[in-house]
Amino acid sequence: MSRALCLVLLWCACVSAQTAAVGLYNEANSHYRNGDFASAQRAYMQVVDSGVRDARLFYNLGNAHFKLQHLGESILWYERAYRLDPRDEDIAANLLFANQVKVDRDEEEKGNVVTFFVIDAFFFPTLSELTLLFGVGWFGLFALGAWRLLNRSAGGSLWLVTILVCGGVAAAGGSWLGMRSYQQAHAVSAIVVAEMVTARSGPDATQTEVFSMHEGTKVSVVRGEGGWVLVRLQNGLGGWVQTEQVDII
Amino acid sequence: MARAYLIACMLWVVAPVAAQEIRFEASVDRTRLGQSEPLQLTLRIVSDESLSHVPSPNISLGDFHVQGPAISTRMEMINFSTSFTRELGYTLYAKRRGKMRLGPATIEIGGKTYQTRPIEVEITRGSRKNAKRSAGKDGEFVLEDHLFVQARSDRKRAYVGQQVTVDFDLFYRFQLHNVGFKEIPSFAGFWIKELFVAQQLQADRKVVEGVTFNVAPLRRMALFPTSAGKHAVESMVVSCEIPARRSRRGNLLDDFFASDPFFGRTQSALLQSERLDIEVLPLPDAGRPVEFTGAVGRFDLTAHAQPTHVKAGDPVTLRVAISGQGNMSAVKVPEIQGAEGIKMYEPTLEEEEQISNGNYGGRRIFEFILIPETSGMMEIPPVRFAYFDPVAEKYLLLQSAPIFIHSEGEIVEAGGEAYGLSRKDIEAVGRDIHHIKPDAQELSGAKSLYTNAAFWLLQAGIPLAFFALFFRQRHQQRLEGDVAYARRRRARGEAGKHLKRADELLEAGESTAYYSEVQRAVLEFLADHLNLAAAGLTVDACEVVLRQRSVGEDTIDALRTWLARCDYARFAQGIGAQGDRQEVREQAEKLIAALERKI
Repeated sequence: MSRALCLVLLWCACVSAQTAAVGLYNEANSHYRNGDFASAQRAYMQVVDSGVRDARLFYNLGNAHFKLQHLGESILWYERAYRLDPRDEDIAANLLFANQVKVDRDEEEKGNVVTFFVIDAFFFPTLSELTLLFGVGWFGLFALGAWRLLNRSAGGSLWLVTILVCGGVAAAGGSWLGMRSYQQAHAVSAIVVAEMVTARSGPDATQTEVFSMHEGTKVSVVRGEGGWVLVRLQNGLGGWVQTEQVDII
Repeated sequence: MARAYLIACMLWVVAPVAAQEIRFEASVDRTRLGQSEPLQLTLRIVSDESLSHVPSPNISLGDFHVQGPAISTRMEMINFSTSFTRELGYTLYAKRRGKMRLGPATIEIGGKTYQTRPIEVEITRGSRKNAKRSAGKDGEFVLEDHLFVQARSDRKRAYVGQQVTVDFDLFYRFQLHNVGFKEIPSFAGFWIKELFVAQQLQADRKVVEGVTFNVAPLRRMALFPTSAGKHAVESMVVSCEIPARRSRRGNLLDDFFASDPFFGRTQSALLQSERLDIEVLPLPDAGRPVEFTGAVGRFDLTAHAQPTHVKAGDPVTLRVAISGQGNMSAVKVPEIQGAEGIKMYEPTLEEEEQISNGNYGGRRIFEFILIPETSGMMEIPPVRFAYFDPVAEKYLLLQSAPIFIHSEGEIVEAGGEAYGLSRKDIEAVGRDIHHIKPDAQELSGAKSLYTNAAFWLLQAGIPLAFFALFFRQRHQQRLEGDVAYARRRRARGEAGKHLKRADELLEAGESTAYYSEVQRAVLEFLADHLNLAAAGLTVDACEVVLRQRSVGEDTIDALRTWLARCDYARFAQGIGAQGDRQEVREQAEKLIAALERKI
């Protein structure tokens, strides 16, 4: 009895927190519409701090930063929104626009049409969609196998084709998901959020300056050491910057 | 003994000045050297007063690639006499071979001009034909025999616009560091296309007149002569460093290199390729078609119109593609004779570059917009394109098939503007980010399906459930089809039932039936377990069967004794006391357990 009561109370608390987050999000939207971008940004951040991970929230937060001329922060939040919903036109458009107005020019990606198509296709589904794809194939595979065990008259070419399709979907979905997870875990990217950053040859302010970059530049994070991180640009240049000057996507 | 570096000139001019005594002199580290080797030139100004405001000397070094100067100053005090020395060190690489004069260098100090004596140096270059000899017999080491850049072209004569492929290869016989391009030829008189530039040395072994070299391609260029006459591909200059080598016992070549002063320390070298002369022939006038616009090479032509059935006033796209090998920039818009009743707009151009088998080429697509102005069948005359084939040495004319367009209806006049194409396009006047997303009813939480542990536990449970079902079905099928297996699986359960029945009989006071049931429990267990008929299972038969299955004598003896005890109790009614019955019951269970273990 008491356990059931606890569960009900927990559920009520979750619903209440969710309602509060939605209310705060909508309130932040009205601040934005009224042109009070600083209040909107603060309210959006409170929703983020409550644990909400929603592409619309990240996108709106990016917009608030952009209006406040925090170009680096805006690109950071657009990138985070893009990861959650890569097919949203608004997110892609604002990310592109913000990247066009930043100071540092991006290195042009090299490749032919086929390469770009393969890369786009690889990043087209979200991780949740790939998980669902794998789950459907996986369940179908064993459900059809179980049906065959329980019903010996079942089988035939239709059953065979269906189980092969389910197996293929599970294998493809699983492999794809594995590659995407590996890529996400190992290719750690960050955005420069300080107005101008000087990268040095080592994790120390006395080391030689190797290059400078400006807010909004996307870098790959190689490793960290004592408040410094080693970052690498798309053209291969690498240097150490202070941790607070960049933010992991 | 290998030749020693010598200081050739220590020539100096003393210009007595009233208050300041100045010496200005020039020296080189050697006066005879290979073209790839560095020559160290030192200009030295010595004075008894400070030289902090001395201007730079003037010296003409047009025949050399110059690095430097490296400037050093020092002060010396000998016998209470102070002297100041300022040295300017130049590293020179000769641009050509032969005897050359360095200087004189001049400098103006305190209104007076000081001058060094000129220095004669001889720049030599060993022939590659003598590589073996120079490295072996006479002992004189010539660097160019072991390290050089070769320029070669696939042809010495070419027509204007014909591709000449020039390769620059590095030949070397020892390890090199920091190889880089110092000077790239200007290729005057050519339109050029870079086909390959080495990012790092990738060498193959090649034997040149008995000497093995590492050969690394450095650069490959496609040159298209723009005018007739004699043209030259100037030298390409490559810099590199040759690290010091350690002598290894038993390796003659290494011993040789180690003994040579050149290889005793890391040395820099500047390598120059030979100049290439190319004779460019003019394109023949005879047989030149009027459609020829300068394209030289080999080309194909295709022309397609889409759609070919339209309403009058609707656009038709005519795509003319010219592809092939040659200088694509010389492929101009083909002239298309406009058909009557068709309005034609200036074409747009798409182009692709392609390099295949070292030949530069690609594709140019000209897209024309045609507007049929009247109805009916209209013919677009064949598209014609002429080019010069340098292999066949003649002009060729390509021609597409005529294209027919069927137009229907009449053009509807709209506000003075005849065609939709002439309407003004809407232009963007400003740019901004897209607006925020609208208010939400709910927001996604922190967890996605991908990170949901319950989902993955469920996925792990699916195969477990499947295999559980699989083994259960297999077991069921075996029970149905294998009697021995079914009896063995049920044996313990059946024995338990008999023992329970015996307990009931005991409570009912039926002692004889009790012993009989207990005995039956053990014998039927044995029969079920071994898939035998329980009716024929006597004590002797039990012994035989158990011995066949290598059951120990102690177990067999225990069974025999126990069966005899049961028989005795059954046939001598009333003898068995309560304790005896309980013991018989316990022994029955022990026997069943022992037999189950051992059979």
